[in-house]
Amino acid sequence: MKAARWTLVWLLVFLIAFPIVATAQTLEFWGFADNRNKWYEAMAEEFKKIYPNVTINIRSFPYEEMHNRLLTALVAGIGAPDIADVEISRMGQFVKGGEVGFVPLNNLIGDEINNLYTGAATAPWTWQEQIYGIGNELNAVLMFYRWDLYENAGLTGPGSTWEEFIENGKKLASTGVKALAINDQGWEYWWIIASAGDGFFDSEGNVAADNAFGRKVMQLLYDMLHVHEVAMFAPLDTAYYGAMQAGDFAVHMGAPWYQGFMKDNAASLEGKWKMQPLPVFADGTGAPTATHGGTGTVITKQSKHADIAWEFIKFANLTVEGTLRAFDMANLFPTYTPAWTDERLYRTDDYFSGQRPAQIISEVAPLIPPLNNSPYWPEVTDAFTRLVVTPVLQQTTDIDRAFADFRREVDRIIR
Amino acid sequence: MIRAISSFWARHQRKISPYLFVAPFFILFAVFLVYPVIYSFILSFYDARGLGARTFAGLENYRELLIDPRFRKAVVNTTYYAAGSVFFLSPLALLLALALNTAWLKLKGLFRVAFFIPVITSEVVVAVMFTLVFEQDYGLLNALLRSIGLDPIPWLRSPAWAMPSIILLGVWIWAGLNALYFLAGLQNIDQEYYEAAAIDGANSLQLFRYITVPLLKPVILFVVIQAIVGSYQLFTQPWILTSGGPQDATLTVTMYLYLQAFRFFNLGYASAIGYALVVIILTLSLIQLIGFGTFRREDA
Repeated sequence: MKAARWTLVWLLVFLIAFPIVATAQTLEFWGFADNRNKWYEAMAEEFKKIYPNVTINIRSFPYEEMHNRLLTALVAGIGAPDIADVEISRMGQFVKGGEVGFVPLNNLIGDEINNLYTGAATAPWTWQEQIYGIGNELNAVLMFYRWDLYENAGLTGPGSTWEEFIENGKKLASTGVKALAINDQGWEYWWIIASAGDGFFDSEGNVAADNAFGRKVMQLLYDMLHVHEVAMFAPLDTAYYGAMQAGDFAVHMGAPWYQGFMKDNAASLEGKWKMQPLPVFADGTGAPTATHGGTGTVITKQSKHADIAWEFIKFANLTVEGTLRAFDMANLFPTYTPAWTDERLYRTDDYFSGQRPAQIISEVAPLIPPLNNSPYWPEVTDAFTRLVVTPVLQQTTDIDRAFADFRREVDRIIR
Repeated sequence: MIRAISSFWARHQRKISPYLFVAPFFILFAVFLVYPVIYSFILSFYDARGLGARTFAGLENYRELLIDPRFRKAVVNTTYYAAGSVFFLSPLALLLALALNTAWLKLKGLFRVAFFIPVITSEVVVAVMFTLVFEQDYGLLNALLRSIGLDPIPWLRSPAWAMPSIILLGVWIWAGLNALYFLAGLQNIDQEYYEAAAIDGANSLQLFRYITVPLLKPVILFVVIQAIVGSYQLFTQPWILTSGGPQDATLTVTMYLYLQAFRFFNLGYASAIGYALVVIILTLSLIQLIGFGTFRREDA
């Protein structure tokens, strides 16, 4: 009798509790970038005020591990999160094969597409016209330069053409400072300049890195190092910031997120930097900016709450408040254009000698060359570094041979 | 029904329960080891790029391996590292052990602890630390070279120096531990042999050649096999220091496997690399066991 009574009590408790448990939803989010995770955590808290039953569980993993876990979970068909951050250079592998593990967002975005700077917001996460991710970072690359070092050499800045950049660099070099520190173990500077001429892939998805413009840019980097001697080899990893703080070089080309990195790693240089658009070639080729890096947020097909996941992504990425929060917390310049008119974006930055970064970024943003992604992005960029960038800059092969080797490798990779 | 089960249980309980007790291990072993081993073997015969449909490719992946210059490069690099750890690291460890085994050395305890520290430190931490040691302009090692008037070396930047750098790091991590293995072996050798030989007039080189080395053979075998097997699995240090660069100079077999699987998403090809690695390690270990006479009968 007693047992039966207890059973009844438990049954009642269960009946009352069940609907509450059932409507409370927890969505898993996987991210890898501290600055973005903090922003998403803040957004999840705000989101909870509107959807009290929804909890977004932000989980943070190291870069490699997160992408590998996501890949494994998609292959396994189980265990993937609802929402994930995918870094731009890792997106290619996820669109390989006949199937993509992410939910297409085209219909969900709808008319909001007109409010997005698509070159940075959707293009890198788009494959065969399906938009799989949305990026809130407008990573327009600018040239950051040490005005104090240029002033020492009797100059006002790096110049507006590459030819001027080199001439000014020679004057700078006579004071013991190189203009640029070029990494011979990575493709970033080649990409930043060469994306004006397609970069790695053309809009058809064919490898374009060895076109005339790509070769011209490689020649430029080579000449700066070995002919004009206005550049040095970039020290690897954290030593780069050491050389930066020692004033060994005067220029860095980077996206807005890199401004945050500089403030963290070279805080002592506050007030000594200014920024300007990238130089172009004297013949008018080139672009005053490029896109570099970036992260997009995707919904996996394994998610049982894709609708809520989208509400959250929209809340963070397609609202003025959400995107400005990211700007405030991590220097991420919004791709959501309605935020561009908000005056909070145009604050002055002491690190950059009182300039208004947003002013310059919004001026050059419409000129960002498009980024054409490809399932072969990881292999091709990797081949480019080891077959072109390193051997050419280290003078172990000439440019023509390097590009021929590269083309041969591309033909082997893409079959 | 329930009665039938319980009577079955009563009759067979003694036979079944031991299996139940050992089952957890075997279930985990099957799920996390046997299954992946078999599945990756099957996968190695498929063209499995990206998500979605997989097509049977027969021996295509293995054929590709034979003509893939990057795979060849990875095997050569890994062999280079293995040679470094067998012919450079292991003898060095033996020398260290001989030094530690001498009567006159002070602070032996301190040395033994010091040798263990690199081994118990996370490989990732060690590798990150060594990016600063090997750094060309600000690194410790080049500062040392400059202080004695030598030119700095582009340790991690030059294709020629990158692998020697990784080997140096390997020495820093493993020499001490291997020395301890050797030391344990040395201390097991009966002093009477040395005394008897000394009475017969053997010099110290002869003592080493005819007493120490033969009696140390099992330990040498152990250290060398371990060095080779470990070398062919090299991943963490070069991945963090150079990511396989410059120009593939430090690309190892496991790293190539990793790149193919997780960066290029060619799961079939990556599986084939895995099995090629199994064949390489098995063959080398076999050659070694035969070379050291392990299969010869003790009484023969």
